[in-house]
Amino acid sequence: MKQSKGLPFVKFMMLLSSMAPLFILVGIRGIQIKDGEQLLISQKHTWIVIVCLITIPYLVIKARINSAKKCGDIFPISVSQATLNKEYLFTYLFTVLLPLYSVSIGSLNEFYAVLCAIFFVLFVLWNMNMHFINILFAFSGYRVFTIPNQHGAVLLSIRQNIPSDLKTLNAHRISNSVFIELKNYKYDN
Amino acid sequence: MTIEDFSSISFGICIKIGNDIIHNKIPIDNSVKETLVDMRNSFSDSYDSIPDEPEQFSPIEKYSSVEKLSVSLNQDYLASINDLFHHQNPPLNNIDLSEYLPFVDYYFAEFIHNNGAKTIGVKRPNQFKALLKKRIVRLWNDTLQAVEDDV
Repeated sequence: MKQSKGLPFVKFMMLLSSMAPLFILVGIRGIQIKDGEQLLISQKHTWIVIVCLITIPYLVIKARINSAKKCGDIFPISVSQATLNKEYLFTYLFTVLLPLYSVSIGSLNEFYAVLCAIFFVLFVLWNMNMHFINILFAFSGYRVFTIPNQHGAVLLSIRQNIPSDLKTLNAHRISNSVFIELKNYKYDN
Repeated sequence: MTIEDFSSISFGICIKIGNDIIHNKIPIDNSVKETLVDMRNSFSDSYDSIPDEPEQFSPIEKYSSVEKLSVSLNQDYLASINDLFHHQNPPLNNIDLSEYLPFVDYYFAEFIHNNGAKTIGVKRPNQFKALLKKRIVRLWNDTLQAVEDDV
């Protein structure tokens, strides 16, 4: 059966946003590609690009959440089998951050290699629907719950755990597989 | 009743291709929720306005357009709706709607009242009176919205 594309733009922006820590690390290490004695890409321009790569996806996610709030895009999620998922942090750390962090960009070839590596990582995370990883959500106190009986969806919530007697829980839809129970929003949950 | 009386209102379609029956939920905005609540209210009003006790529905009988009927969900021909009400948790928007609209068997609305009571309304699809928002908005919002003009 032909599948729906859902919200691919939002999904892509969420994936880019999940790369924010890597972009910051690349910025701190700098891109040391030299054209004679001069740096081909100055630190200033590197940081402008990095700030754009961090803020634009974040603003798109905020716009998506505001849009979901405005039009009441709320779904009842079956949370009877929900489990708190902490493993994704290790997956993210060992598959994305550590391998790419150790790469230094000293030539154009290394720069293109890092771009390719980021592309392949994005491709894998896209297909695994792992666009829920976001350091800004984590800093805001959101935890990730996997919902097996909701077709592999995940719920972002500030709850410590989901009470065992709770069958369904209303949450805003960010994408077709990521839902968020916003703090400071009255859900009647 | 208004949309504030419900903790959740969701909308979906049942697609029937051969013997395959697939339920799918579709994101909707508040304008569609209000329309669904209006439809629910007008159904309740007409149902309750008939003073008689509901007659048992039989698929072999012929009925007029408005009659007060009831039927148990434990009937073979209602298995799909029974499943939807009691067991199924349909996936969200994971099929290409434009491709399968001709195969829509019925559309349904699930109302969960603030007191926890669940109601499902089912309707045959004469016409979808909703449309997707313009493409630019669909970048971050793909909910169905009600059409204000006559269709």
